[in-house]
Amino acid sequence: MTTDTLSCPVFHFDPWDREILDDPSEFYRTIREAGPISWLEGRDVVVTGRHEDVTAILADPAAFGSSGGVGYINLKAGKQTFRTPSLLLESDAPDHPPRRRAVANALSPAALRKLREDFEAEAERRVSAILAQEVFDAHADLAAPYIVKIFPDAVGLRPEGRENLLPYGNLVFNSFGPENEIFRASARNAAELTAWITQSCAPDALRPGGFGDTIYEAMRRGEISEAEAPVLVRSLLSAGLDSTVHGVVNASYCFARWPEAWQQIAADPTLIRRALDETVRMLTPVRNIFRTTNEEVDYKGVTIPRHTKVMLLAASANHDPGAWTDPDRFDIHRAPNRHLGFGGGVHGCVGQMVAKMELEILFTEMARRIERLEPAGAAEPLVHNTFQTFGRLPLRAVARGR
Amino acid sequence: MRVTLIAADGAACALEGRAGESVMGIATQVGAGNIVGECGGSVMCATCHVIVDPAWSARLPPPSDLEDMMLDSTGAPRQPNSRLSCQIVLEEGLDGLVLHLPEFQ
Repeated sequence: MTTDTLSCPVFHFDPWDREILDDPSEFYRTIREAGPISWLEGRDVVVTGRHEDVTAILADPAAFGSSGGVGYINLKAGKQTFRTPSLLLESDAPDHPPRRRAVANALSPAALRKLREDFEAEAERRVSAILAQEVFDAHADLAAPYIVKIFPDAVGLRPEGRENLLPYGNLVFNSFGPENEIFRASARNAAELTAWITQSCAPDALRPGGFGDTIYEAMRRGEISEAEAPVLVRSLLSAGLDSTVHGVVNASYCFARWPEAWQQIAADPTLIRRALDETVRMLTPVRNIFRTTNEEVDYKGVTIPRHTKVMLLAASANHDPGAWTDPDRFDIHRAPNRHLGFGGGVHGCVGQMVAKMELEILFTEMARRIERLEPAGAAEPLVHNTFQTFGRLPLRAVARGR
Repeated sequence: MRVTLIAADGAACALEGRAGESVMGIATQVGAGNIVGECGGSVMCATCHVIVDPAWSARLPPPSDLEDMMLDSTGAPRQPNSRLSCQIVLEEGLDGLVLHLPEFQ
């Protein structure tokens, strides 16, 4: 494809260049200011970073489909990945609605209410553990053990082998970028991880009554097929672990950096859910997502050819001055918070209410017992094709009443 | 344009909005009723649940598939006239719209 076909600004940024991954703010600003959409020569993708345009494209799945893959790889051009495409995330109508319905039903508010006590008990244990440490790592000592306990329990996964979960999710989200060195490093044991996850999602491997079993019930009722059900269960495990672990880490970072917000939520815990949305806006874990044009499409006067990848910079949209007053200010009172950290449209994160409950319960317990969070050493950014977070975030938790 | 929200205890609250604005949008700006709108209007949370007054239900366009799906996930049980107020966009003919609020979101 040549750029003659696109009458929009052209840039030579490589979004996966290490310098841009480390600090994408200049890249984002340039793309936002250039116009609604631009072309990235070399990577050959259309890119958008404005809130208005990311929102509009997410809301038009007929033109900007997901069956071409939600990562950089173009499944419409016959490219393949190490994994079978996600039946949930990487599908369009008419295949998508019944699958979405089966998963949404498994994650319903009624199902979530039953889990609250289990999540609270684990949050209490986890907060006791970090308070016993002089310095704790928000990733390894807080986020990872909390999420890897409660979410797979809710899915109905057995305890054995759970050390494979985060490496598997890490691999899946890295595969949303190009097949670069970062991807290859995470894909060294792809075959073993994939075999383990497949085996773990089998119907007889899951506890009755969990999210996974509820999806198999939809299969037994004939709403989804025998081929679809296990892949939808797998989607829970690939999409629901890393993303929330990083959400916990990023929220911890924000509350350590802006202690006045922590004081406010401690004084009024009803602010916690709103504050957590602001952490997702401020430091968006999933930087970007892709769509693929189903046919040639005219977008705001620019003709985009059929089967073109379109890169949606959610993290940029979440700091767009056209959409936010003082976008770099951490303001927990923004309401409604129209951040795009969970995507949007028919493919918007189906597990967001689970994620929000997981974080709400953990940070409620933390706010109750922790006077303040303080940085306690150098934070190490995670080098990742899709995530924006820290692989290591040393913090000190100062207990209340000391 | 005027929209009236009637809470489960009967308390009424009048809102003013312009064509093109969603009911969730105008309600959350002033903190009216128990409308939360946690997902910001992207049909992903079902926390802006309202029940359309029978006198008005025929005048609204029907819910999309996505809204219909999310209505299965409301906190208080879904009713035949249940809608998500982020998907009710003010337009000519909706001036005076009456909506009832569920007991909880």
